[in-house]
Amino acid sequence: MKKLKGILAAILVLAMALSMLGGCGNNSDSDTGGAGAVTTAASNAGSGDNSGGDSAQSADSSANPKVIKAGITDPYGSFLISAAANNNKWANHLIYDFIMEYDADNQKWTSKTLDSWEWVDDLTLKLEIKDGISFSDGTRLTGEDMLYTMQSYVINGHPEGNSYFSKVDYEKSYLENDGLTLVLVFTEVYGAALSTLQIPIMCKAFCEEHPDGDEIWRTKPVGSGPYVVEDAVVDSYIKLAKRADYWNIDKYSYGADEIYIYYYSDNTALFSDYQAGNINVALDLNYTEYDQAAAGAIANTMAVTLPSYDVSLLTVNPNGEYGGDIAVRQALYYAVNWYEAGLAGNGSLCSEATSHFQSDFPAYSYHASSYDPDKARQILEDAGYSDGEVVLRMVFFSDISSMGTIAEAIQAYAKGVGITVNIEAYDAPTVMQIYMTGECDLTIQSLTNSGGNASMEPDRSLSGLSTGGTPVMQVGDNEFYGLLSDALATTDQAARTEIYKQADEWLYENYHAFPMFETHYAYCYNTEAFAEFDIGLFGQYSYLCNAVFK
Amino acid sequence: MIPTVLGVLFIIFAILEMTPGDAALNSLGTSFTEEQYQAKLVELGLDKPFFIRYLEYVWNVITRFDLGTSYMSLQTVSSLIGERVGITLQLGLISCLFTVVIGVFFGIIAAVKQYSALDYTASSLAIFFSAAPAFWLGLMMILLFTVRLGWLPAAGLHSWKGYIMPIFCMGITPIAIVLRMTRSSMLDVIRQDYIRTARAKGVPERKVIFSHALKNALIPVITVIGMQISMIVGGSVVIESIFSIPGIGMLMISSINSRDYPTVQGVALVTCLFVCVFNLVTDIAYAAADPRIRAEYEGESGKKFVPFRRLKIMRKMLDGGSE
Repeated sequence: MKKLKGILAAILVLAMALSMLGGCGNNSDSDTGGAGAVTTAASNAGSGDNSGGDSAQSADSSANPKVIKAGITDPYGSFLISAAANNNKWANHLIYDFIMEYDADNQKWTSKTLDSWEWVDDLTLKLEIKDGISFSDGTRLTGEDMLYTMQSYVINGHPEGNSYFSKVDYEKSYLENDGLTLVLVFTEVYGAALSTLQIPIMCKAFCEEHPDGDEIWRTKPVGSGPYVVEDAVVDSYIKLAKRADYWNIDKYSYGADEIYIYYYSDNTALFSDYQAGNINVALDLNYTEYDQAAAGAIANTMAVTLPSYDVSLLTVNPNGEYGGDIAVRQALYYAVNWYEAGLAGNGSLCSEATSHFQSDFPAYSYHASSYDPDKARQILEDAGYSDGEVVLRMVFFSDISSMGTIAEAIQAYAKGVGITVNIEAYDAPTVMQIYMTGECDLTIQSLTNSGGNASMEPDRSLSGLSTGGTPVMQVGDNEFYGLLSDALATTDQAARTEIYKQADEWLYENYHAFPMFETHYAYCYNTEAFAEFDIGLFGQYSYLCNAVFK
Repeated sequence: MIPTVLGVLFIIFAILEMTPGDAALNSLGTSFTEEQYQAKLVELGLDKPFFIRYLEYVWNVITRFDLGTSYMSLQTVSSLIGERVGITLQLGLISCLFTVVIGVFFGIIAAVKQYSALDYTASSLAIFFSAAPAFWLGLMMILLFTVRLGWLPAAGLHSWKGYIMPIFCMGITPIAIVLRMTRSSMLDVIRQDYIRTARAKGVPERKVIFSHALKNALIPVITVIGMQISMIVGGSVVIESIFSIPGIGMLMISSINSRDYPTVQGVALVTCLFVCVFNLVTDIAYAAADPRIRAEYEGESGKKFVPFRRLKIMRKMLDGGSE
């Protein structure tokens, strides 16, 4: 009896001890002095509670580190760029430098890491790398690291490796000039090469020392960017600290000394924490939250939208029972007010799409709204279809709530002209399997999948309509495939733009993919928390926020 | 315990096998050749028949404690779970502690002061919280304590304040159930003749309640506590999702969504083991509390397997008889 009591007591004591020890170990109390001062000011601003505000405001802010506390809803994955689980968009742009970047305002390519680049011939691209770039562990960055990064996509079997980086001939590509000149030789003419080179640069030596599954890829990666990962808890937060030895510090001086990126599993919790002042930047806002922030419902809050450089399309499976009939596709095109359908799901965070390309893209050309339900009914009648005879199956991702609302709007419009659209939502793997087996008629697709990258070339998105895509999206026409191949077969950007314009017109004439709307991203920040940041530095912060969507 | 674990593993394997969605497709994207698809199937081990994969997995777990490698992060599943299980256990154990202490204490009070305001309040709250869904409770608390009052953070365990709402949501339903069970059991016991005898003999009321009544009343309560504790660990998925807590519940969700089969199986296995261990602890506690069960173990010259021993004892108890 005594023995059993003793065992029970020991178990209870052990449990309590573990709890207390675990509590001490897991707590990463981010409310340190400096951060606390910023947070308190933000909280006071947010909630209107002035308690503690005096002490925060009287603190010498210059002695305290400038801290950004941002909330996102994208889960924290591996920092290994070529891993399938890499989705740290925010952190990637802060801890890594990129080979190429796109200046959306001036519509031109730029690079922080290259002095220059040129096409020697159609198969050879020469990159001159800046000297003096170093990774956070002190290793010098050379072309070897860039080449290794590209090749790792192929070795790791990453989808981008299969599609794009396999076009590089790694046997024939070489380095010159002590590794500061990288000559990339391609296996075929690849006009979209510069777009493909918008990747973070990994340190080859570090990668070879740490295999892909090493825990360090989730906690302490090495990059050449302005920040280093100081602490990271999986699916909880990432803490970044500014590098004092950042090689580019004179030109790109970021205001924040520390950046916390907190992960939230849903927007409600994220926005709630922002309103309570626990974070001072809320990213990934949906339209209701953006509207609330923009309407001034939250004190000291600035709400900002950014173009996503993205067009959402409705695609029609030409191999379906009814999708193969151009009359049905045409009728559907005129039956729906696509912008209104987008408004139903995205509210103020979308604008009308008047081309298959976003309005900033060089190949963009304006097309007027197509909504004409009477014309749609006439087309169906002329084709011999009775009311309700045409039945289409739409499948989309269940984790994107706006898609459901948009699908319902499309369903309602279609019903008005006698087309029945059955809508179904599943998780991503199930949807992908349905797409790959061609078992649905309609899909809602993001054209560019750009994630906020203005330069994301149509070869990646239109390839979804080509042989590189799922069977439900492929247009199944060699003329269209030929246009895309021609665009990739030249490095002349002007020529490529003209070909993409032709591809845009072809899609309109053949009714395979309907532009619905252009999306915008939204975030909000606490203006008092950033009162200590210089305007110039704040300009950098805009880049910081934009970076999360790339 | 071993047959239970093997059975659970088999069921998880079967469910994953039948679930739509292809893990190989999920990692390849949309642009790949048939050869690449077949190579990916071989790489992930999905080219083998179901039973071969199941047996190989069981063999690796038993002989090498190898739970496999995650398809997504390329980390070993054991290290993935190791990163997160501490958080789930921490929350679970604290919730258990509150469940035992608060549930039993207020159950005793409610029973002793039956029909009082305290009894009615405790019982009403217990009914409410045992019926309220955890996800609804969590969202309401976020609305009140984060948005309206600004007292507590909505998500994460970045400070001690972050623990309050998840622990409350995790533990309140078990507290309510334990409270009601304790109250019911105590009411049953304090009406017994031996309690009346103890009072008649002048035994102090505190001793009557805690030394005489509670010991007998705790027997069914221990069973309920054991069940609730098991559900706390297994049911952490909802709480971790609401409050963005990086525990094994969240790991399970993200693994299911990405068809990361090894991680799903690993988390299911670990959860099953926890439940079995907690059941074992419950059995030990049961033996400690009930001298009749203790007597079954003590005084036997050798170990003798008595089929359905516990069922026989329970039946005797229900019939009101003694050994």
